[in-house]
Amino acid sequence: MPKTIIELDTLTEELEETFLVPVDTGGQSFKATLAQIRNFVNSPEITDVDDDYSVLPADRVLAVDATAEAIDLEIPEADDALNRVLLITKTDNSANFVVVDDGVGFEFTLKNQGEVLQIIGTATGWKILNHFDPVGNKAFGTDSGAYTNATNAYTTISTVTLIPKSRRPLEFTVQPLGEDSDPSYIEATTQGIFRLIDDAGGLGELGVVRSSSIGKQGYGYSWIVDVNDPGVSRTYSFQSRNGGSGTVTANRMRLVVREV
Amino acid sequence: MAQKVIPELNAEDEILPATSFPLDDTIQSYKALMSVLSLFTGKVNPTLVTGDYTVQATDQLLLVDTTLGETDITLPDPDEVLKRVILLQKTDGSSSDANVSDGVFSWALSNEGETIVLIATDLGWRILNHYDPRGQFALGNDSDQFQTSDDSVWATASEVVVTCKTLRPIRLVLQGIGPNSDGSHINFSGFTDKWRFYDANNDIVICVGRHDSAGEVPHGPRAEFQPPAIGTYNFKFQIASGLTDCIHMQLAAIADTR
Repeated sequence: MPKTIIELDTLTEELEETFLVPVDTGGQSFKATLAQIRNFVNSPEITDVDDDYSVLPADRVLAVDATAEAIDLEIPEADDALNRVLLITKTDNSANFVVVDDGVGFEFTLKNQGEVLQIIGTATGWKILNHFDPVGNKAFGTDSGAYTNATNAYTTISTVTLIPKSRRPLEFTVQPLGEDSDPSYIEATTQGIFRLIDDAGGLGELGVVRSSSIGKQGYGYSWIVDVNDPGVSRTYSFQSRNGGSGTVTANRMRLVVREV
Repeated sequence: MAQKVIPELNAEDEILPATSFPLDDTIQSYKALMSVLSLFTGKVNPTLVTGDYTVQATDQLLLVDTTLGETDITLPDPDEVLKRVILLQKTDGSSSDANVSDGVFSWALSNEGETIVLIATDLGWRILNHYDPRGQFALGNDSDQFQTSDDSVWATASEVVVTCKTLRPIRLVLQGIGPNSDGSHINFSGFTDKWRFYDANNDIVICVGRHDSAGEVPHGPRAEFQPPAIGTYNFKFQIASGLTDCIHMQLAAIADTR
């Protein structure tokens, strides 16, 4: 006959090679039904976080609300959490980030509502088992306004900042955001040199293109770029100069980047 | 209170219908699904693999290091392990694949950190989740100072090889990668210039375009390609023209992620 059992969550965190189960004859033994375990798995204990927080040994699933402010979520070093799996999700739709950091090299930023990160502690650090982002990693750059450059030195048309989260490539596009009364375009009266550059980050020129004999263009500049150092915040700029004479103009264009 | 060692906890990888749970004090055979208990404890027990390997009954997560070369991971017959869930991850940055297969289902883990979650069903192994921090992405060669002057022959300016693991559409982009001193562009002749995206492996003409206006164009064509089947594709950007330059352009191919 079934007997009432136990607090499941009082079980040891460590599943030992040889698991000791009390089996006295008084009916107070360790008892857990499959249904109870499944119920626990289907309805795991969730730690709600709305302030800076250090992950505790009992934490498994963390739901982080960054509505009030950006949140630093400190996780233990992987060496101290071998084989441990953590699932972390950002629940709010604010612009505040949730930064997951072990202090020794693993850092991951959750920025979108519903974004989920699942990691495991290994001998070589925390590894990502899964990452789901319903919004995607993207950023919209500055509005060029009524840009003009009649010199042979580069100046910036639009700039954008993004933290690549993985080694997935980045797609850059120069997009219009003009209005009917003020349409977007790029024009080089003689010859225009255009480039995508990571100036501050040290990657330098990611692509330089040249155009001549063209009138106003409202679209077309794009690049797909490899990523070798995810996690590093980078600022990219779309710049232009003339090819020795003439004027380059841009009206209401902006650089947009997204992880693809 | 007496205690008994229950070593079967690590020996059982699935719950049998007849499994007995401790309904009284005499039953000592507590058996549990390892993955369920692992989730319960917030832990999994990874198996480190550095060579060809056959999945064992107790494996939950396989961390596969392919540094030594291509590695074959053999799955059990799904009919014999119905409902079993297993995770596999390639952990290294080498170019070798971890080839996961049971003889029917197969999947190559190609990128560092690429992870797949499988479940055994009566229809075979099925993918529950796939995480790939790099994706299916490849960059082609620099066209350098490409020039063609024959409008009856398709000449290749840049090409790229992509292995499509899924039927997600592939985006093809011809992009400028030139240096500041030699800006990228396509300089069409202004006559009957034609360009196309072409898959040489399967002899598929993806699309053909025409450009009759002379002048240096700073960006190249783009196209979306729906792979007809999983496999390897050799995409080419080609031009047939009286006189067209394609300076420092590169064909990039990437699979849609959504």
